Amino acid sequence: MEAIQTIIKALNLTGIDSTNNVLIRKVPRDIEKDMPPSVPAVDLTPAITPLPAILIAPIGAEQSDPVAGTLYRDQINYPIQILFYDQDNNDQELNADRYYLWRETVRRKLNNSRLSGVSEVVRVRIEPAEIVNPALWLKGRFAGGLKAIVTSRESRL
Amino acid sequence: MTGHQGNYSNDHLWWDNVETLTGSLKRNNASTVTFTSNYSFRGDMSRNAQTYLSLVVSDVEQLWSIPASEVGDNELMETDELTDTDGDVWVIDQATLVTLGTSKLFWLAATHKKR
Repeated sequence: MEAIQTIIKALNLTGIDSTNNVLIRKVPRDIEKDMPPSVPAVDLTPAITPLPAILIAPIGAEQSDPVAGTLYRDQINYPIQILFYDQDNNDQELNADRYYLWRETVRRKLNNSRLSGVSEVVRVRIEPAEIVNPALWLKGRFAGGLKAIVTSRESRL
Repeated sequence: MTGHQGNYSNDHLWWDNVETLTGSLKRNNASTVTFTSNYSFRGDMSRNAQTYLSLVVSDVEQLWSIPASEVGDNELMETDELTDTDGDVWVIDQATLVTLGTSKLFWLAATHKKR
């Protein structure tokens, strides 16, 4: 995930603070902290602020194919999600081109690539996820994603 | 004939804990309909999480009751905005018109707080 983060940061995508807002998370969580004055504030850091952000996180379970790999190495596929996340207040047009360009750029950079600095990884394959999630759009957020399947050949201990 | 013959359209005049709410109804890119209700009631508040892939988005959600007569001929629908007297904006997730007999009583609007 750190190698993917480094690659995405180096893309310097327009509108993204590459230094601070390309984040690795276990479970990305964005929480509204503000309650009415009579209710104590909830502070469940780290909230994702400011937006927009690209969030890198594991999703689901690894896949292990018993017939894949080599005589001395097992082949494991690690599913990693790459989320493009922003506040867009139910706007139908705002920043749409930018969001789709982020998606296209990351896919073109990572698909069928190797991860530099991670010698076990033989291939990264990109599986598209939902381009725009309608339920979160109704909540005033833009969220779209890609899934990176990272294929690793690992020696046995 | 139906069972309810009374006129309950002014039922909100007896509501307690009412407050003023301004509605902004976006019907197309060029047109916004507004209304002001002096008898809105702020009901249950909750936190609810929406998920997409493994992303969890947690919002403050508020249920509003707004007299139908204050809304007039307009209908409330998702993405319409309600502004309370503190200036907080609440975006409608779901709106339902509650009736009694043939009287339009109030709109029940489930909202989330706009950032």
